[in-house]
Amino acid sequence: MGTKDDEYDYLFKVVLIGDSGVGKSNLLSRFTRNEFNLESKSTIGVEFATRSIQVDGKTIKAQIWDTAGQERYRAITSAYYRGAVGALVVYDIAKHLTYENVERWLKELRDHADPHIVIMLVGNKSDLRHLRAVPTDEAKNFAERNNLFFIETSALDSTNVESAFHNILTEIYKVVSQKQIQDSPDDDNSPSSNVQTITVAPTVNSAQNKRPCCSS
Amino acid sequence: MKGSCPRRWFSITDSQLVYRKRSKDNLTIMEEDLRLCTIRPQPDLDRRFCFEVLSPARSHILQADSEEECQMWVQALNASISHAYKTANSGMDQMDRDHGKGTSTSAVAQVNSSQGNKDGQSSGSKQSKTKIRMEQLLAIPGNSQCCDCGAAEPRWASINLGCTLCIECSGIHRSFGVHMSKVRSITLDTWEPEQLKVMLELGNAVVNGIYEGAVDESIAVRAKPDSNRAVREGWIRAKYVDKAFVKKLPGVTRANKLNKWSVRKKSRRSPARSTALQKTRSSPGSALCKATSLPGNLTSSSPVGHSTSEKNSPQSKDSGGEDSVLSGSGSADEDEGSLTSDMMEAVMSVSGGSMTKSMSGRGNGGGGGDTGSNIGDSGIADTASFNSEAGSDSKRIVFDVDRPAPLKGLNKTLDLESSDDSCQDFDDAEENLTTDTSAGAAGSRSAMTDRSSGVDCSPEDESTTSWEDMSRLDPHLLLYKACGARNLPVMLQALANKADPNWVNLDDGGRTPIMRAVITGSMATCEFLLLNNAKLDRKDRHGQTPLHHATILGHTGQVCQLLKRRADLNAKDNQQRTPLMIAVDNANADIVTLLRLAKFDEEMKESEGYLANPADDTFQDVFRDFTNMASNNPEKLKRK
Repeated sequence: MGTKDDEYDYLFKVVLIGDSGVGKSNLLSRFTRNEFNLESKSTIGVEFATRSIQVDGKTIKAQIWDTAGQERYRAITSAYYRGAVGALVVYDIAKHLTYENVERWLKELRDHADPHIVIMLVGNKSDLRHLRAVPTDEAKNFAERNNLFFIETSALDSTNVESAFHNILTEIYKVVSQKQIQDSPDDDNSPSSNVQTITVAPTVNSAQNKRPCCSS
Repeated sequence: MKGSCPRRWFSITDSQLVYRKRSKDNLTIMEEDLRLCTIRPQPDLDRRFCFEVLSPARSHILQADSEEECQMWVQALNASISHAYKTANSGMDQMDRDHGKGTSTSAVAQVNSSQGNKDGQSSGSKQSKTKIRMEQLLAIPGNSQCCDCGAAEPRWASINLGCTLCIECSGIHRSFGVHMSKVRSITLDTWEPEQLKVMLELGNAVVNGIYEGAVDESIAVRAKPDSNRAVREGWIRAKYVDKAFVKKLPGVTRANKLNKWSVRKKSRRSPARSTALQKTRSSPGSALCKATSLPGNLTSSSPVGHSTSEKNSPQSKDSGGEDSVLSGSGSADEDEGSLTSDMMEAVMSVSGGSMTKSMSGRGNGGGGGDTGSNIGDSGIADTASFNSEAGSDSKRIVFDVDRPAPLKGLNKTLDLESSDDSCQDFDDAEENLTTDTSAGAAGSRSAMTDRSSGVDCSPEDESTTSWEDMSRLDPHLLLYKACGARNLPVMLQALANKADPNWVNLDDGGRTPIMRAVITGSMATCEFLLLNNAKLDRKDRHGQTPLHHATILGHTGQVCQLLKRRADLNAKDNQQRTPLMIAVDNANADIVTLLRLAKFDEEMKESEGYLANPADDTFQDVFRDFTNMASNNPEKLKRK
């Protein structure tokens, strides 16, 4: 419909959460800029990046919020999660504590995020095979029990980074497009309740027919 | 989530513009009261069939499906507005009879809501909020009657003047434009918490004490509740536009010499500190003068702390200071406490340029002025009282600041030469002691650290008070100093005397009043200046904007306040630092988040064109979070 926004069809907000030092910022920079920095500093507050990908012929723009893992660097706002449709909960496969803390991050999502948010559990640093502290199967089972998607990645050697984001964005897209099918076409689109139509002169019978959502 | 321009289903109900995201969703109110809105077709946009709904707080661009629908919407909205006015005038709430129930057409929506609150609170809590606000506002002296005509039960307010108005007078205020008066409905509008604070600091008694200080009915006839529009307009024009009844400050005309303004500051300091301070003060080389880059003009006062008068500063811009006048107020008991106030006095005099002053020890001090309402600005206890003392000739505004933290402000005064110290001047006490004893050369530094640590490490200190006679300041300087004291009534007085809200204080680092206000940490002071046309992006001598200052000092609430008004994020100071770089260096997560979010929002807007604004909701949510926190629970923002 518009002229300027046909760059993308959907815009999804995705948050990256997890303990300090698990590699959230590097996952983000690998995905959005194909960069990796061994000596990256702690994130302070929040950082943003965007990237568009194609799913099902549609352009999806991901707006990714990379949040500080360290408590003292986190801003006091629940708005981190507001409007987020996806979350990557990241842990370090070589540090068991970061995996144990996933529970805490899930609780934070339950407390602040939309209940329908799509969550993916991400075991990062899969290149550190010799230091592995969290068996893949254990994490996988945990993810299944909690209805999370699961993947192991390495921001360092790029393994699965693309897939992780691609998968979660696809899942979000599925949820969203299904929702649209449910409540778009002609099943009672006018606000259902007791709304009467007013006539304003000069009136050409006010349009009651609603069409599905803007398909820009 | 549907890209930049989501479709919403709109309808008009009970004079409200409401929408749903989906057919089964609950209604969301976009505009609470259409009477406050203006509807404008927008034929020139690069989207078709658009019109704008403009309310006091924000603007929405809506796009209809066709030209006809667009026209119908504009007509329907206008019809609904005029209907709402009619029903309101006939005094009955039967809006939902014929018109109020809405037409519903589909429209594509919603862009560019600059500022303003999102809706979605339950109407219940909304109402109670309104009720509390009304009670608070009407409890202020004078506010139960219209500030201009005296009509009972005013329901409107001018938020930049700080008074309440009846609907008729508010209409006239509006007709003069927002640069003169920014009108809000007490009951219908959404209010930013800091705007309410501004109102609570002023009030009709204060406003009329200033704007009706010298009424001359030969200029205009006083408006009464039953006056016609012409009389009201004449009165309000004379009162605010021509400022015909404002009693001139001596700084403006020298004729009125007995009009005395004092700003009293209260500081806390331990007796031990006092001695240390005295050392610094009596040390050779006049540390203070050095620190403030006005060498050699400070006359030392006697260490016993008697009232002193000082002339200084050949560089002064101020014309009013040739005579030394002792105001003598509170001179009854002077004790050793005055040593420190003496010190502070000296600082003030240097920063302020030439002026006359007097000071006393505890005089009327102590708890004397603690009667004001405590509104806890940004975590700083802030008590202010406004006394118009008897006698038409001598009027004194007493302002009492209980300030543990804001002495930082004084640091800044001292800190002209070394701006990079400003974020690290809370050094440990040991350094002070050494510098104190070594005196002399290190003087400027010691005076500075002294001051801050004096505050930091002695919360139980006795109070001392210093007085400053402002009687001869020119209005610009008066405004500037009143900002430092967070004294809104005096600020209003200065503005009524045509003080320039963007005056540059060359004697204080080239700062403008808004910078001075930012340094105090008071959101109400900042808000009041911003409402009165203070510019956001002026730079001081160090190239720093108000946003830089707020960031350096870690004043989250004010960062938020400035960003809401779209302060320039990319402004660089003389060391090429942006506010974000400073915030990252200071590891201030909240401010970093606010700055990055604002920047991100800006970038999204740029790349999407101004119609699309996907980050906008979150942006506003976060900023509202922080505004509310800064206003209601400032302690939450204090970390570390």
